[in-house]
Amino acid sequence: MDVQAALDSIAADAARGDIVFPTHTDIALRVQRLLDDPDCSIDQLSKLISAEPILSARVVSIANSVAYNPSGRAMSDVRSAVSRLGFKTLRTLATALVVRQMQGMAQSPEHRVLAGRLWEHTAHVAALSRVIAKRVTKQDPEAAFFAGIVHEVGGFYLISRASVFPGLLESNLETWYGEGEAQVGRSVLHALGVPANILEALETLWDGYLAMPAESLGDTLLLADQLSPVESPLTDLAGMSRKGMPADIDLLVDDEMMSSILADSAEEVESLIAALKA
Amino acid sequence: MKTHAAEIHEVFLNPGQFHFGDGNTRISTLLGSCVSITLWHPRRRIGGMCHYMLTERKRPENAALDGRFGSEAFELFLQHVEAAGTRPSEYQAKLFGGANMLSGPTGGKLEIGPRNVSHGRALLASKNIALMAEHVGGSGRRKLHFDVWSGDVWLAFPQGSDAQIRNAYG
Repeated sequence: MDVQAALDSIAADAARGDIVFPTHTDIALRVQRLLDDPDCSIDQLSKLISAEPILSARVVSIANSVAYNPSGRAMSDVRSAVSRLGFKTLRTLATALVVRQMQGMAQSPEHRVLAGRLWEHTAHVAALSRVIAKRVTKQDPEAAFFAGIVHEVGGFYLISRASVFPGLLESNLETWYGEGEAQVGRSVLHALGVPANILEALETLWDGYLAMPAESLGDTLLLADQLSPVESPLTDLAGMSRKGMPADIDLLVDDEMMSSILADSAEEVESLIAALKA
Repeated sequence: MKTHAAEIHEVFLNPGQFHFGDGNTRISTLLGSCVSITLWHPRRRIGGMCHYMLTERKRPENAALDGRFGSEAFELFLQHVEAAGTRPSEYQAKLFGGANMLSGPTGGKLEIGPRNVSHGRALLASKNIALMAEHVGGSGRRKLHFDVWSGDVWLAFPQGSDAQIRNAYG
């Protein structure tokens, strides 16, 4: 198995831009386009979201999570949930649905298991990113949440294409974390219409260097990725897994340690992960 | 990681080594349970890095300072700080490393990393040096680059036991 040749071929396919997202993500993509329209109204948006049961359920469940609803006043309709969340978060949720449904592009049961695990990792990183942005790096929490949702799209694409290269996901994928992930990731993010500040954060993630002290959106993602208790299954294939060992790194933030900040926010993180995985 | 247009003097520190340099220097190292401290003078744009393996030892009389021990590496810092006509409290410190790399005979952790970390904090506090950032603990190796021209420190924390790194770096 020539791993490098297979990865190069997958990156070249992605770069040609012919990325086909699953058909049932159509409404999520339409929601994204509607959000780009300056005249978009809450009514229009609520109507469109209501037509897609998974997205509707996700919007209501996130709006009721501790992260967005600290007072605990539950709501059950899409329109109220849309008002509470705001357009930025809705864009993230629509994108989350597309990314999650990329799982379904995996061709074999084994690959679907990998994709499922990758989604679990994604949910953890997105939830942690939101909290780290708010409490540690002082970045926009919604931008960080969004960046976390899309940070593994290259990995989902890799898994979806793996059946064309039998044995690829059983090989050592060390070179994936060289250039492959960044090459494929850039193409898929472009196809998803991801904004420039998010792309910049992902470049920092792929580069792998955290600035100390951690300040940027990219640093936020790097920290969330380092701290996530669920690793990407691709790190295992690349021989880079922590093998279940907790990351237990700590960081000085002003005069406080990050571990105590995150302990304070554990409930918020859990509520977001639960809503994304539901 | 940002780069610098001018010619860079690159220095790689092995365990126990120490370097203090000027604004064209990038000091790099690779850490496990060892600790690196960077000191940077924001106005003069000078600074250094140490890489110590253990906290301290009973130093034989007349023996040279040995950067493998935290207390002696810190003495080396103080000598360079003084030679540059500066005071310790004018510097900004960052501290890294102290991972749990080794297991004892019964499988328990030997706590070398955490001890190195708390020793470093105490040394800095004893000279009123402000600690600006820390990235400590965990179970992996850290790659560090310290750009003396800007005071920036860049840290890569590849997960697990990076297969390419087999040397017994501290």
